[in-house]
Amino acid sequence: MQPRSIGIVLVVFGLLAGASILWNWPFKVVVAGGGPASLMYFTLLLVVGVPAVLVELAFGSRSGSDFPQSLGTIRPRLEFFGWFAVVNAFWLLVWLCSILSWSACFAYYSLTSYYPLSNWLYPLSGSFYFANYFFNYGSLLMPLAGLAIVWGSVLLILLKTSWGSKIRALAIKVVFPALAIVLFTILVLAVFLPGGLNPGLNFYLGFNPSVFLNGSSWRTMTTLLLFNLGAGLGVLGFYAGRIPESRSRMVSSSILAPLLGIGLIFLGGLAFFTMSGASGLVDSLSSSFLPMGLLGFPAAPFVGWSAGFAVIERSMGPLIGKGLAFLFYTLIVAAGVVGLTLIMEPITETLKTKFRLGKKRFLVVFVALGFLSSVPFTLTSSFPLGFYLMSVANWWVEGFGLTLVVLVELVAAGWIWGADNIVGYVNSGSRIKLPKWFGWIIKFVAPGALILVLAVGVYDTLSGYVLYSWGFFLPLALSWLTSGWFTNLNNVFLLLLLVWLVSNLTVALVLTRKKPVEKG
Amino acid sequence: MLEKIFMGLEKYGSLGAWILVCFFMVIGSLVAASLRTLGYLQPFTIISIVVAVTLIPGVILAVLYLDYLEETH
Repeated sequence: MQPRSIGIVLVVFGLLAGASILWNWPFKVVVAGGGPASLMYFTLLLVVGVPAVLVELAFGSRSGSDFPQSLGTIRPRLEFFGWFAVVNAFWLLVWLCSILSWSACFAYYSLTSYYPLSNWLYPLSGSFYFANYFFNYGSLLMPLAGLAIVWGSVLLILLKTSWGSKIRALAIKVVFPALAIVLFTILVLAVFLPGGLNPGLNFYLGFNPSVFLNGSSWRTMTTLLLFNLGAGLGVLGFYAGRIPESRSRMVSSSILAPLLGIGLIFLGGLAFFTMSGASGLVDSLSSSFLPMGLLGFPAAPFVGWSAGFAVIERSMGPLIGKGLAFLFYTLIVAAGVVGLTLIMEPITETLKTKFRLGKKRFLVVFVALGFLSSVPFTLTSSFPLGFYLMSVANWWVEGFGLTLVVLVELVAAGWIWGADNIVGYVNSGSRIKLPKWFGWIIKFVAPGALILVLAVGVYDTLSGYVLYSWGFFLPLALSWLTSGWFTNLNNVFLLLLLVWLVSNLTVALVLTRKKPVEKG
Repeated sequence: MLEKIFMGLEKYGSLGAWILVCFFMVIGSLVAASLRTLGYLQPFTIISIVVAVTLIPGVILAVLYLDYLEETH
C-alpha cells in the first residue's frame, strides 16, 4: 500500500479535520475567547506549523525508517522521544475514538424522535432540557456501541489491507468533498437566519484586544495547530520515508497540507458559529459563548452543533434539519475512521518491526487495548464523566505531549542536524526551494515559540486555568462522586496526569532499551 | 481543469502565482461585501474573511502552480 504523498497527507488531515470540526476547533476558539483566534492561528501556521511539518517530513525522508529510529539517527538518545511520541499518539487515538463514538451516537439520535433537536425551544431553558436528553437518555450503552463501531471498522480496514487503499481513495473522492458540501450548505442556510452574521460570525472573526494580548489564547491556538497538523505523532515522517517521490514535493506538501486541513476546519467554524449565533448561544452583549457557563466547556461544541441543527429544523423543516445533522455526524465518523487507520498504521508497523509480531494477532491485541482505554471517555450518567475526562486528557496529550515532541524535533533539526544542513537537504530534492532564512525559523523562531507555549501551559496548569473544564458541573460532580479521594476533582486531574506521564515515560524507556527482535 | 488554468498562466512564469493569490483576494472581498449586505459585520470580520479566502484557496493554488511550473520546465 503506497498511496501518493498528497493523498496520505489529505487523509491524515481529514481525520484530524473531522475531529477538529466537531469538537476541538469550536472548543478551542471558545476557550481562546473567540475574536481574532482564527487570524492568530493563520499566523502560527506560518511560523510554527510549516516548519514543524517540514522537519518531520525531512526526518522521515532522510532515514527512510520509522519515527523513533529517524530521531535516533540524529542522536541515539533522541530515540526515547520517538517512542514517547508513539505512546502519546496511542493516547491521542483513544481520545479521537471517543469523539468519533459520540459522533456516531449523534448520527443515530438525529434520526430518532428523542433527539434533542426538536426540543430546543429557546437557548436558556432549552439547554437544560437538552442536557437531560444528552446525558441521561443515551445511557452507557449508546457511546459504547459507537465505540465498538469505530474500533471495529478500524480493525477491519487494517486487517484487509487490500480494502485500505480503496477506502482511502473513496474518502478523498467522496467523503471529504461531501463533508465540505454539507458544511457549506449549513453555512449558507445559517447566514440568512437572524443572529447568524451578528453576533454569530462577528464572535468568530471579530476583534477582541483582550484575546489577542492573552498568552493563554496564543497557547491554546498553538497546541490546536499541532493537533490539526498531525505534527509530533511521527505519522508524516513515516509515510515520507516510504514514498520516494515525497522528497520532490517536500516543500509544497508542508505548505499544502496545513492549508488544506485548515480549509475544511475553517469552513466548519463558519458553519458552527453562524448556527450558534442563530440559535442564540452567542451572547451579543458579553460577546461570549453561553454554554460555557451553562453546561461546562467539554460538552459545549456538541450543544452548539445540536442547537444549530434544531434552529435549521425549526426554520426549514425536519427533513433539512435532521437530514443535515445525520449527514454531518455520519461523514465525521467516516472521515475519522479512514484517517484513524492512517495514524494507526505507523504506530502498529513501528511496534511490529520492534517485536517481530504476527500482524493479525498484534492488531487484535492493539485494538482491544485501545477499545478498553477508550471506555472511560464514553461514560455517562447524571454527570458526564466521559466529557470531563476527554477535556482533561486533551489538556495533557495535546497541550503538553505534542508540544514537547515537536519542540524536540525542531531542536534536533535546527541545533543538532543543523539549520543550514536541513535547508540544504530539502533543497537538494525538492522542486520548490526553501529560502536560506528559513533555517532561522527552524532554529530560533519556532522552538522559541514552543518553549513559550510550554511555559504558559505550566503557568496555566498551576494557576487553575484548567478549571474551565468543570464549570457548571463542579457542584454536580461533587454530589455525584460520593466520598473519599475522588471527591476532589483536582485529584482526578492529577491522576490522569500521572497515568499519561507514567505510561508515556515508562513505555518509551522500555521500548528504547529493548533491542529489535532479529528475524528467524 | 486545473491544468488548463495553469497552462494559461504559464506565460507569466512565477508571476502567475501572484495573479492567483490576487484573484482570490478579489473573490474574498466580493464574498465579504455580499455578506455585509445581509447584516452588520465588524471591520475585523471583513478583514478575516478576505485573509482566509486569499490564504486558503489562493495560496493552495499558487503552490500547486509553482510545483507544476517546476515540473514542466
